[in-house]
Amino acid sequence: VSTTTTREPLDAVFGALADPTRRDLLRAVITAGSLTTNELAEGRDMTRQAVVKHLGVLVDAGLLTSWRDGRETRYEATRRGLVPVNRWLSEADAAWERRLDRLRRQVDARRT
Amino acid sequence: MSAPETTDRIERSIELDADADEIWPLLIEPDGLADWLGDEVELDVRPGGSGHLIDDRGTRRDVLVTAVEPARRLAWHWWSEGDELSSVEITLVPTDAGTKVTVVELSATTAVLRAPRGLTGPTMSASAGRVLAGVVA
Repeated sequence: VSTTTTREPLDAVFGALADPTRRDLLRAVITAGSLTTNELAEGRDMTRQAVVKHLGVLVDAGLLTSWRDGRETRYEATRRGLVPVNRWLSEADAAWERRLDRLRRQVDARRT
Repeated sequence: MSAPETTDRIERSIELDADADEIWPLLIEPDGLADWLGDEVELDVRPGGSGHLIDDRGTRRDVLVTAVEPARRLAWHWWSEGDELSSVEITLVPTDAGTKVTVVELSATTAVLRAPRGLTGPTMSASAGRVLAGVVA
């Protein structure tokens, strides 16, 4: 079982998610819970090798974790790959309201 | 197969009664940033510069600056301890009254989950199990 606790450079995650194939692979894994390389390569318009390469990028970015499952490699989304949606939206929006309020007060304070 | 990346997007604007040149130092100087963006800021504000900040709720974020255009635009990626990675862009646009400050924050990881393929609706939760239940249902 590989570990996913290391904090990769932020750009690795953005880079990993910038590619539509990798987003699709991550979605497929999240939807299924876990999938093997063969299951992920099935029906795709690319070589198995290309799929493996994409999966490697997702693992390196800490979005997927993988382990040996018999003769196959199996993938599962990490917590990082399962960030809750609504909580993020509402909290981030409220946070910016507070921050911009503070910015306004600072600008006002510096002008007087 | 490509997914829209604008789903998990937050946008907020305010109009400030000051020129962009007056506001800019608050965006690039750690002491200035500590007055509004976070309570504790250690950040090297230049493209590729990094650091961290702790906000008013005690959340620590690692920050990577991606764009610095003096008095116009500042952008960074940041990542909280809760592993919530997002990208922020602040733009300053002169107006008759002063400057319009616009913030856009885009969540990288949630954009994936909210993409097409039937993954619609507010079904996600903090628990992976419930997330999967929502997706599969």
